[in-house]
Amino acid sequence: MKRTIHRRSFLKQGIAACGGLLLSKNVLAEQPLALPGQSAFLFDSIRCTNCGICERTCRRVNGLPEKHNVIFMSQQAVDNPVHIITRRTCMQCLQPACVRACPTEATSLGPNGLIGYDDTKCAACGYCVDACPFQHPRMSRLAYFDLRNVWVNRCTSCGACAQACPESALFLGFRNEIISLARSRLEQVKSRYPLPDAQIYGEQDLNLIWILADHPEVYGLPPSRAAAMADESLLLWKSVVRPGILALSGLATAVLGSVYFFALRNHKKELKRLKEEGKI
Amino acid sequence: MEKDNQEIYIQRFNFRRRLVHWIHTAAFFVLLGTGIIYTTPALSHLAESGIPGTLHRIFAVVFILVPFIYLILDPKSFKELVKESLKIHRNDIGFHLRMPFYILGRTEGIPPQGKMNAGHKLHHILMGILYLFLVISGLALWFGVGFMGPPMFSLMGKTHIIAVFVIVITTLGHVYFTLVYGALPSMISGKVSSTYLKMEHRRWWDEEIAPTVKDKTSK
Ligand code: HEM
Ligand code: SF4
Ligand code: SF4
Repeated sequence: MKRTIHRRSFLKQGIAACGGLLLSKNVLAEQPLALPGQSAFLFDSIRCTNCGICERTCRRVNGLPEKHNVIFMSQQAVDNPVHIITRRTCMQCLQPACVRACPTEATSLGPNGLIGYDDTKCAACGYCVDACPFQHPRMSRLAYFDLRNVWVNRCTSCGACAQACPESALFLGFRNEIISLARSRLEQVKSRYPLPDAQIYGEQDLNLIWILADHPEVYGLPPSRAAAMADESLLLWKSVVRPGILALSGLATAVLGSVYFFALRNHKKELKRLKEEGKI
Repeated sequence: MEKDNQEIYIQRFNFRRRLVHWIHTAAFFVLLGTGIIYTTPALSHLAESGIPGTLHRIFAVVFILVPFIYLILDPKSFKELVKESLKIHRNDIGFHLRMPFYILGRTEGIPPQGKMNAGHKLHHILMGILYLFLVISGLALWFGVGFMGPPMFSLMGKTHIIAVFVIVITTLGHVYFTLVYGALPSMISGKVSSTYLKMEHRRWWDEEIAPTVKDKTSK
């Protein structure tokens, strides 16, 4: 029962998919991007002192193997009155390409709107690694021969890093509150330091909201919509080409399968006739 | 080799050639079966074990090696296959024009075909092209992890699955015609009947087989 429904809706999806990419793009655009109970992280790069406690906490809480990590902090000295501190981890895209790429739902959108990862479901295909525009997930290419022992390093949105931050540079909370907090902090920053280019990053497309001391390029961050663009390029493959091809292949098999019986009859008749005529 | 008075059986493919064909087939269907798990939502939970992914890679290696296995086992047949497949005859056009009737099991009006009919030639040429597309995109999805980035990943994924689609349709046709026209024996025992040849490969029969058969019978 369940399966037939699934198949039917899948077929429909295939037909709709053949209908065109434009349609699905519109549907996507109309969706409210952030969910009602949407959570988000705040990373205040100006308060952060690059102490490394979040990195270490993550490794301990998640039992990561030696030398593995999912948070990479770095720091560069510039002419600004503050250091440029970058936090490389999952950016919690509102339109996550990794979730669309994942064939097994090992990477998924959680009820709080953040990205979850279940390593028992992960097939180590590596799709999420290349789908991510921020190069967050990492894996060893040799992992395929390690069957059940696969390990893709990626954030599970457990929030331990935010709990551990001693400088109040990292928060996990409801998205709307995180955004107001970011705005008031930005005002404070601007009143305290000569940082005319200080800004908020990620408001349009991420659930990791940054307070930056300078332009995003200085932090090596792409212009906004990078995540949405990566997701849309996968949309064609995963949601149009894939189901379309599956439906078309099924259709072709069904058509040829039924024509087969007529063809076989025709062939036998022709064979008999040609034999009678002495042609073969 | 006589049966039914005039029915004679002719060796069409030798053992090594058949062996390569079945290695290719086995690799193809394992790759298709394990690949489909990734594309079908109802099956994707099977991929969680990691076994389909590993099988896909093991049989990808077999698939990639097939032309080389062929070349080592039977270089003469391999050369013949390539040469014959690329040798376009003017009768080939007539064959493709009569395709709708051929699908329905009717051969009348199809110009006499050689040892390889125009459909086989098209099938082999497509196999060669699709081999390249599948191998390049497949190896990129395998060893390119972490190096591709979203645009290349998306391109390789689409290339892989579109090539799979074309190869599936080609193979579907290949299997279909084999079953309709009872061509399976040529890949099992390697022998085909004179009736089959006169109907399906008349030019080959007339030009190459019939004279040798007559020689034998007159002796
Ligand atoms: C020739 C060498 C080939 C290589 C190296 C290769 C490699 C790959 C890789 C690495 C993937 C990613 C999924 C995974 O982790 O398993 C994949 C997916 C897939 N492969 Fe292959 N493959 C090859 C040939 C084939 C052939 C011949 C077929 C079918 C007849 C096939 C069908 C598929 C399908 C349907 C997918 C899923 C595509 C998707 O996710 O949309 N592959 N292949
Ligand atoms: S695409 Fe990358 S940054 Fe965005 S949610 Fe997925 S892993 Fe995180
Ligand atoms: S590597 Fe694991 S988490 Fe990433 S897409 Fe593949 S199955 Fe999903």
